[in-house]
Amino acid sequence: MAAIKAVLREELGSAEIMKAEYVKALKGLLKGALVRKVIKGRDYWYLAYRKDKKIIFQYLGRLPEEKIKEYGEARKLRAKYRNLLSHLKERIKYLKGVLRGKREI
Amino acid sequence: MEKEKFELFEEVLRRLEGAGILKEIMVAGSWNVHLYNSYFGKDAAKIPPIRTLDVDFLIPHPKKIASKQSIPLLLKDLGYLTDYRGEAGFIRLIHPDLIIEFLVPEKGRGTDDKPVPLQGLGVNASAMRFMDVLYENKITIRYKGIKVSIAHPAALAIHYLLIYPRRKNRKKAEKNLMHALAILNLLVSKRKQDEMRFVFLKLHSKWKKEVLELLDEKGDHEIAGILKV
Repeated sequence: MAAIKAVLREELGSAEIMKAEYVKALKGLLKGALVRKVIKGRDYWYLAYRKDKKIIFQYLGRLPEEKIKEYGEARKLRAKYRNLLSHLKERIKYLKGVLRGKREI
Repeated sequence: MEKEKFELFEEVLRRLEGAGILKEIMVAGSWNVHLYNSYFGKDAAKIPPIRTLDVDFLIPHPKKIASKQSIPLLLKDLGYLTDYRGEAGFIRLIHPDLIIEFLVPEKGRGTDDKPVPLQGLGVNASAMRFMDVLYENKITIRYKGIKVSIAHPAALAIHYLLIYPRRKNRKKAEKNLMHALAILNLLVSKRKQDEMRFVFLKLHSKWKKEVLELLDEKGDHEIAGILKV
């Protein structure tokens, strides 16, 4: 039993380090989502993001293709990282429960 | 979690294959055991299953790598992050379901515990001893339609026996030993003694002696006897 607990403790440590890395990675991503407005046939871009309980629309103007793509990729990565972070939090909760004896392996 | 791990492993292999990197590297370590399903068929169930989140890829000839594609970028949208470990900054690619690390054979007097850069691939690698036992005895299998180079089972088993007394993590060393003995006994049951001997006979005489002494110490005299002949 001690050997199993040692393995689980190691896994818990590893999961907590990984959780911190994903939190850091999320903070490093471009914030918000791009919103497009078409005026007289031209695209103008706004960045929509949350600040406290409000949603802010920040005017960015006309953007090069690469920048639009960058925001799109950041949005996909954000969804991915949040999903993985959620799994990690579940795993940490489970491992802590098992180590406290409140859950079965 | 198990299902996600295997699906992710398959996707990682597909991407490495698509980028032309997979043909220059091989799977090292305990993930070979999972891939032996393709080699042993249903008898592979006789080998204890792997319970590791880490997959190691061995680059036998790091200076000859032709591919110039960043592996971290290739796997980024799968959710992989680049993690730098220790003061020396050993790179590994982390993901809750599967962690990837890279290995190269240790040359000469070693690398003073510094990572070996693999600039074309955007990662670095740890130099490890006894890797030549693996890449000098590699086989190619098809895993879910993907051509993958892995270590011959006898080579992996002998590699585990060689590293057993040297591993700092004794729990992992015991797990490796368990796999080594299970693999060797399975090879004997499949009448592949000649293949075992072929791998063993290529070893340095000092390593042969170590392997035989360990087998005798663990009471596996039958295997030791087969290799000695």
